[in-house]
Amino acid sequence: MKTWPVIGSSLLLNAILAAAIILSLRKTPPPAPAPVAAAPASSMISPSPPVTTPPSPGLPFQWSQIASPDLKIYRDNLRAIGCPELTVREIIRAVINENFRTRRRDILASFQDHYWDMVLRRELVRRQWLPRTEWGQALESLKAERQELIADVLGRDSLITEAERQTQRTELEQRRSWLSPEKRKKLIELEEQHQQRLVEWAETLGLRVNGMPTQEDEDRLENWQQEFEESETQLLTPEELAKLQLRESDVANWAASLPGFNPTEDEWRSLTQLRSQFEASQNAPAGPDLTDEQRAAQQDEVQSNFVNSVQEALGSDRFAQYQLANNDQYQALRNVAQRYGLPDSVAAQGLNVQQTAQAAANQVRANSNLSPEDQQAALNAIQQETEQTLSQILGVKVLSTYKEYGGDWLTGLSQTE
Amino acid sequence: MRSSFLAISMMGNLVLVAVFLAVRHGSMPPGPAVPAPATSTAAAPKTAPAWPATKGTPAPVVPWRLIASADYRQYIANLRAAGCPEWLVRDIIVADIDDLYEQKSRTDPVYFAPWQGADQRRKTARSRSVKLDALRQEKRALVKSLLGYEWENYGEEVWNQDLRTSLTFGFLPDDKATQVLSLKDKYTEAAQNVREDANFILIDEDRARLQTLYEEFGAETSRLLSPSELDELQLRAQQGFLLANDINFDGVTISREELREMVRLSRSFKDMAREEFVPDRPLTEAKQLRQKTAFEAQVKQLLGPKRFADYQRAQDSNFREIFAFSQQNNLPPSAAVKVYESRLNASEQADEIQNDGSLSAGERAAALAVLKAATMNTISSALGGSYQDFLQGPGQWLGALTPSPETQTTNQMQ
Repeated sequence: MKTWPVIGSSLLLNAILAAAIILSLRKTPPPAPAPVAAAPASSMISPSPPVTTPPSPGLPFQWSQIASPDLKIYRDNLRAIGCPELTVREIIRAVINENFRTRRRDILASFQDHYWDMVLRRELVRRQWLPRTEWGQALESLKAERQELIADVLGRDSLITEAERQTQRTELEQRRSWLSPEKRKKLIELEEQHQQRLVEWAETLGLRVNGMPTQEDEDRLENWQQEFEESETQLLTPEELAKLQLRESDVANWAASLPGFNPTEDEWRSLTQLRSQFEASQNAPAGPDLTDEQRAAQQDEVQSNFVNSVQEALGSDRFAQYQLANNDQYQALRNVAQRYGLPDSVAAQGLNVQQTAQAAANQVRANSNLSPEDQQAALNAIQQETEQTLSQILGVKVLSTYKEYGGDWLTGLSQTE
Repeated sequence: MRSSFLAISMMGNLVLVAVFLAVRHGSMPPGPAVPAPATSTAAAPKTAPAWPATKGTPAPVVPWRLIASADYRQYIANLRAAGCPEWLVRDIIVADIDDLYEQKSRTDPVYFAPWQGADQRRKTARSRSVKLDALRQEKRALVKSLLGYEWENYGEEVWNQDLRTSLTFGFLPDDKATQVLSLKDKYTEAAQNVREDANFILIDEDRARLQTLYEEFGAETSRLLSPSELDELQLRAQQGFLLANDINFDGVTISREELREMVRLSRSFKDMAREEFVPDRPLTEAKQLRQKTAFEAQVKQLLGPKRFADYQRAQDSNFREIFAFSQQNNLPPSAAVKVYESRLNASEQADEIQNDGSLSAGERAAALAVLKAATMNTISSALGGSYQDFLQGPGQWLGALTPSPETQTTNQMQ
């Protein structure tokens, strides 16, 4: 029987504690936002701080306790409560947008009534004209002010740059995956260091009034380049360096623009070397005493040597495939054939028909024995026959699509000139 | 029975004391998590970098952990409960989702060995594009499920930055403008996927898919906007027809409403918004001419015969050149019309003189000289003090009215 008072007391204590918790939740002082030294006036937002919804009871933290009309205080308060930097940036950016909204809206309203007048005067055509209008200038100035405020509060070095840097590094690592991990790491570090120097160099120039490099600037650039190349040579074996240079050369990506031709690694290496030599020969200065004809003949010879070397490197079958892939007319046919799931051989047949028809049409046009009427009749007949043959090879539907995408030469067949 | 009752109550006291202490120290976990669909769960809340505490202030407690949650619904609820303004709740959540999906899409970078051919590259790039597109769709669906509408912080950025966008969408309230931009972005991207899938060779099925996308875009936009907003937006999208067909209004008196009506009429000839999704097949010259004639018939009906004549005149680049000159020199439009008409008359008469076989070369030259003098006289009286400038600029055609010495010699020989 004596346990009941004890139970009663315990229950009373339960109730008191529960009440205390509820009161604490309502009254617990929020974490004091870190007061920061007065920020420059530029970070103050006007005309008023962001409107917050009425505080909700029961949470030990209220937004109004960290929000401040001074954006630097707002930013620091967010950082002080452990808000991640990315979120801090987004919040400050959003607050700035919100505070510029009314001013922006006023400018927008000022010219919206004239929208159709601008259409009438064809002013919308001239994109470069927009920033010169009164409203364009007002919006641009507001935009600049907004960006300046963002930079003032959040700094110019954005996190996006860091993300981009990360992506660039991952890509570089993939491109250098053929190197040992240690060399890869060192090479990337060297490249990043070199890149950083170049960026700083360019930035220094950008700060100058004329933006032009002095002789000293150019010397510095050249020294860095030499330094970088020497470091590369020290790091890599001659074979590795040659491999790197070939892969990074301007002509290395030729296979990317040749649908229908997939080179092996060996084929790629041989052809890239040949292309590199070809480029160098083409860019080599011609003798000053050469006539135009002699120069043209020299270029033809370089071109012909290149083609012969490619043929030799690939062998006749692969060379034929390579040549086909280089033919734009074939590519147009192949694209359409592929769209309908037809094999490449169909495109090759189509190309054959095209070449035969165009040769026949050229013969008719060159035949001066034919009267204009006979010439036209012959060309019409060639066109009709070609369409029929192509229709048999491709099918009516594919031919119709082809006429839309690259097959316009068919209409040209019947033209006398 | 009593003893177990007492035990429960005592345990309850212990628990309540612990909770009370926790609350006093600000480490109370947020309210019970609201069950959310799987899609609304982020991988993990972002960890805060260590920021140095401001000098002279005590290290604050860290309540952000109490707000941020891996469960976005909970995160939103916490922000709202803290009294965070609704627009900021939206921007914080969308930025967090953007970051989450940015990380997801960054895990799969593409690298091609230099010998990889175009076909292989296209296939890999396409498959990556499909994956990224799926992620973007998932992201959009997540945002919509949380906010109840489409939203891209990027769209808001475009809205704030781009003048042309501001001009075109400026009649809409800010939130609607951003939402329409988000919708447009979504559907434009979907249409681009269809084109890339087809390697930009569009066949009937592709066109049907694009048409469906266009219709869905229209339907979603019309749900978002009021009928008058939708009408204005459609007209603004359609005004590109005037430019595409090089339609000019120099010297034409036309009201804003008439212009809007003309733009509205043009939609049945070429729907410019649709064209962005489903490009029309190229028309034959004959069909183009038929369409132009049909459109002009409607313009004539709209403007009436007098102003339609003005409209036709405005399509002539010679008139526009004269009109521009007259405006630069603060001359009335009537002066431009007078100069233009004299030019037309002079050209017609010069043609007649040149083709008149009954005239000798000398008579032809004399007739042209008379014509030139008369034309110059008319133009001079219309332009007044600006006449000399006109002769140096747009009036250089007057020189061609007199036959050159070679022409005279040839004519004499004939």
